[in-house]
Parts: sequence; structure tokens; C-alpha cells
Amino acid sequence: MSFRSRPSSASLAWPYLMGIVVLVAVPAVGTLYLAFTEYFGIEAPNLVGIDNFTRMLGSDRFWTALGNSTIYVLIAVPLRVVAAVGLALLLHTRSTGSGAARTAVFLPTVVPDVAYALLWLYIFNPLFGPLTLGLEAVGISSPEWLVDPATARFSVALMSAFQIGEGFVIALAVRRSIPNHLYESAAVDGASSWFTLSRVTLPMLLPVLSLLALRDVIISFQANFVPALIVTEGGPRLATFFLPLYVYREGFRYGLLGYAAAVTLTMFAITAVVVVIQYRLAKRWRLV
Amino acid sequence: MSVAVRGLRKIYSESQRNGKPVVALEDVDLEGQPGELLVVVGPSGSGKSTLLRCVAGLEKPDSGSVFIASREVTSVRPGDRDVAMVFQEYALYPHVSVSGNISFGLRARKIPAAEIARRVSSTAELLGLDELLHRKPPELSGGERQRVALARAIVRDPQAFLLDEPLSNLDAELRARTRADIRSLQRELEKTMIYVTHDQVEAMTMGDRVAVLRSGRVEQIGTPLDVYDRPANTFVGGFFGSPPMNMFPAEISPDHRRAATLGVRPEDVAFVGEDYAKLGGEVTLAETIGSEVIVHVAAKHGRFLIKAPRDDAPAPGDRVGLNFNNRSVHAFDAEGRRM
Repeated sequence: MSFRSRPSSASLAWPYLMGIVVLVAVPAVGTLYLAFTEYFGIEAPNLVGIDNFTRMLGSDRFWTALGNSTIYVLIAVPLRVVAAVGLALLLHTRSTGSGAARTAVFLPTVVPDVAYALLWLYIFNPLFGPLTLGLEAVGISSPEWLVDPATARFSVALMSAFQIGEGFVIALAVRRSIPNHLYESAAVDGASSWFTLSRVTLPMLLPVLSLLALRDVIISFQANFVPALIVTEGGPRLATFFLPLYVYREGFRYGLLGYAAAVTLTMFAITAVVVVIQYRLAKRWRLV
Repeated sequence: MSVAVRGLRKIYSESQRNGKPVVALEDVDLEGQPGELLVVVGPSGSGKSTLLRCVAGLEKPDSGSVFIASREVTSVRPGDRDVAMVFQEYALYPHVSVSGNISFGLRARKIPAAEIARRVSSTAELLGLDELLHRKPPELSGGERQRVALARAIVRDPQAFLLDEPLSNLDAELRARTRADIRSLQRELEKTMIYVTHDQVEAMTMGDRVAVLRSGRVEQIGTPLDVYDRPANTFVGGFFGSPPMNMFPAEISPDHRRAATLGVRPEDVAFVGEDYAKLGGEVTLAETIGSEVIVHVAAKHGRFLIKAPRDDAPAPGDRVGLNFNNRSVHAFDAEGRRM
């Protein structure tokens, strides 16, 4: 009898690893290199040292985009986490209609980004959009969502607050994993709903809350590209001119691929720093 | 303060057994008297936990009433019934320290902080938890968690305690020790305690009185010895005692020729010469349990289990005669009721 060597389980990961290398690692290394070059996509890249970064730091447009992105993250992340967790807490029980409601919560996440953006363009329409009409029907004068710079950033964040399917499912699973006898014990002990929520449910959800916040920071720095491009085109008066749109304009409209790579790298570094700080804080508070 | 249920009925219409809704409790009347430890015992599915949950207010009975300290609480919220419950799984909050777990109910009721500190410390002392107050439940052993769960109930100083199989997650040695601890604690506190278990040994050793439940009905209530010595029916006779009571079909007497069952406990059967024996049979198995041997005898009426001292026990394959005192025989009618 001969022993044939069996393929190790690690070898099963090869197709995936190949994909990572070709689609992620190589472009990432390419970006790192291009960030230090002048490159228009026609001739070979020309090494220019940190010129791109110096230019970026001196550019008003860059600072506007960074400011916009920061404000967007500060609005969108809490909104998304609260929406995902809040809906999970409301819909975790198996009652009539809750299955349909859970599907409804997940649905916007699987709508293609462009279709989703066009849908919101209609919803936010200042003349015949359902949101405007609805508010006016109950006597509230509707803000001019995408027209007014003050509300435009919030409007784009509001759009993102409905694409929370994954966070919702995670929060739902964690809520369901909390044993029911903890709630029964609290009820016998005379705890009010608020006391139980604040002393039992939320503390037990905290690890997942911080995980969701980390993940949403990463997503929110990038995910506003489609709405900013299609719905607002960076306007009004640059209010929704976010970093991804800036990178896109510089790289693909003006052909400054080296410069766009430098901004991308900066965006990556900022995200990394924020995530590390968040993780450290979560660790210090023993949340993860 | 007493705890009583009257005509309690609970049906789980969403779960089915043999195509019918499950009747968890059927007209249950029961009263735990002031300062009494009443053990509710029965096999799984007998409705004992449902009964306790109805008393706590975690289940709403379909009909019947619950009284705590003579006040009707059937539609009162669990938190307003002034009972404390110890759960089988302990129900400790894993993210909160032992001290936080013990004080949870007091904080929920907005008791002043100084009072909470005083009560937590005296309860922790009572249960030997003083050293563990800053630990969290995942860092505790099973026995320690169990004591925290008890402390959380005791610290509230409720009218009554409800315990749902509190020892079933402990190993045998710890279970025996904790059994005695709970018993003496209850005597010290002089509070009514309803203690649910499936373990007949817990019922026998702990209860002032024992209520035996089967299929949602109370089969018998009485002191442990009452229930053991005078079982109300074949079910109770078979449920208490280890090994269980030997049962065999018999006809009572020539004049009342009623089909019946006779029961005799393993310790009431003696080995005698076959000439003097009421029954004869062959030993099929002898299980030694320390000082005693449980002898299995195949007799004409079925299998008998007999408890015998180790020196006196026959060996497998031996032919033996069995005898017992007529006064130790329990007679049951055709419906299985004690005659």
C-alpha cells in the first residue's frame, strides 16, 4: 500500500489568494509606486519624490474634500450604527410581519448602487419628490435637500443610512444570541425596559457595536462615491465633494494618475489611523 | 408569606403533542405555606417549570389564580410580585461583576447606594462570596456562579423564593453539599421557597413537603416520608426510591376479585429458603454499590430488584426465594390508585 500525499487544506485557499494578489495586492503596490511619480497613463511613470504630496497639501480642493469626507463620516457612521442596531432590537422577535420587515430592512443593500442613487434623486426632488410632498402634507416645510449646501451632506449620509443590511444582520444575530433567561431574570428583579436596555442589552451588544463602527468608518470614507458622482456631482458649492470623487476627478478627468494615487494613499493612511485609534479605545474599554 | 395557586391551567397551543395542544398545567391547586420549603418534583414535561414561571409571572396562565402573601397577583407584572427567582442556567450577566450581579435587582428598584452596599456585603458574607465580588461570572466555577445566583435572590429580601432546578448543572458532590446549604439557608431566612426539581433525592432530602407533578396534574402532596411510605398511586410509588418500587399484577382476595397492582420496595424484600418464599426466581445480575448490592431477580411475575447487604447477597445464576412482610406491600387498584 502506498501513501499518496493529500493536498493540504491550505492549498484550497489558492484560488482566493490568487484573486487577492491580482485584484488587490498588485494594484495596491502599484498605487504606492505611482504616488511618487508623475504619470498620465501614456508615457512611463516618472519618479518625482514627494512632489504629489506637497502639491496635495497646498491644494484647497484637497482640504475641502477631506473636510467634507470627515463631516460625512461623523454623520453617517453614528446614523448607520444606530439604525442597524435599533432596527435589530425592534425586529429580533419572531412575530407577525417581522420577517417581512427584516427583508425590507435588508433590501436597499442589494439594490445596485447606481439604481439606488437614482431612486434617491427622485425621493429628494424639491418639486415632486415623495419626501418633500410627505413633509409638506403634514405641515412641515421641507428643506431643499440636495440644493442647499447645509443639507446636502446630510442627505447623502441619510441615503447611506438605509444600506445597512450587513450590520443589521450582524446585530440581529448577536441580539438573538443573548439568552432569554437574562431578560426573564431582569423582569423578576423589577427592571424597567430602559434599565434592561441600558444595563443588559446595550452592554452585551457593545463589542458588536464597536466592530460595526470600525467597519462603517472604513466603508463611509469610500462609499459616498456613487451618490456624489450621480446625485450631487460634488455640489452644491462643493458641499458633497468627497475624497473619492476628488481622486476620480484628478485621476480620470484630468489624467493626473500619479497625483490621484498620492491622494488615495493619503486616504488609506487616514482611514488606517482612525481605525487603529478606534480599536485601541475599544480595547481599553474592553469592548473587543 | 404563603404562595398559592388555585385552579391553574396552562395550554401551549402553538406546540403540539400527538396532534393536540400541549396541556402544561391542568387545574393545579398548591400552596407553599409561610416559611415552608415546598418541593415540586416530576419528570421532564410534567409542567413543574411552567408552574414556577406562572407564579413568577413569566407565563400567563389560561385560567386560575396566583396568590403571593394572600394578594392575588395573577395579572401583576413579574417585577411587582415581590418574589425572587433562581434559574437553572443562573442567568448571571456576564459583563457585570459579582457585586453588580448581586445588586442588579436593588439598582433596578432605585434603592439608595449606601443601602445597596450594606446589603450586598452582608449577603456576600452569608454565601462566602466576599472574595469574589470583583470577579466576572465567566471567571467563576459552576458552584460559585450558583451561589451568586442565590445571593442575587436573597439580597432582595423578597416575600418568597422560586428555584428552578438550581442544582442540575453541578457535579454530584457539589450538588449534595449545596442541597444542604440551600436547606439551612431557607431555615435561617424563614421564607417560603418553591423548589422545582426532577430529582427525587433533592425532593426527599430538602422538602418540608413535596408535590409530585405528572402531565400537568398534582398526583400527591405530602411530607417526603408520607409520599415515600404511602404513595397515592403507582406513578408516585415508582417515582420515589432508588431502585424504584417493584410492581406486579395481582388479584386482591377471593371475594373482591379486582385486578390490581401490588408494589413492594427493594429494601422490603428478603431472601429466604424457597420453601418459605412467597415468590421464587433466578438471580440475573448483582450490582454492587458500596455496602449494598442491588440484586436483579427474574421471577414469575416479572423482574424484581432487591437491595441486600453485600455479605448476604446471592450471585448471578443462584435460585432464590423472596419474602416480604404483608404490611410493606402497597396495593393499588386497576386505575393505579392506592387502596
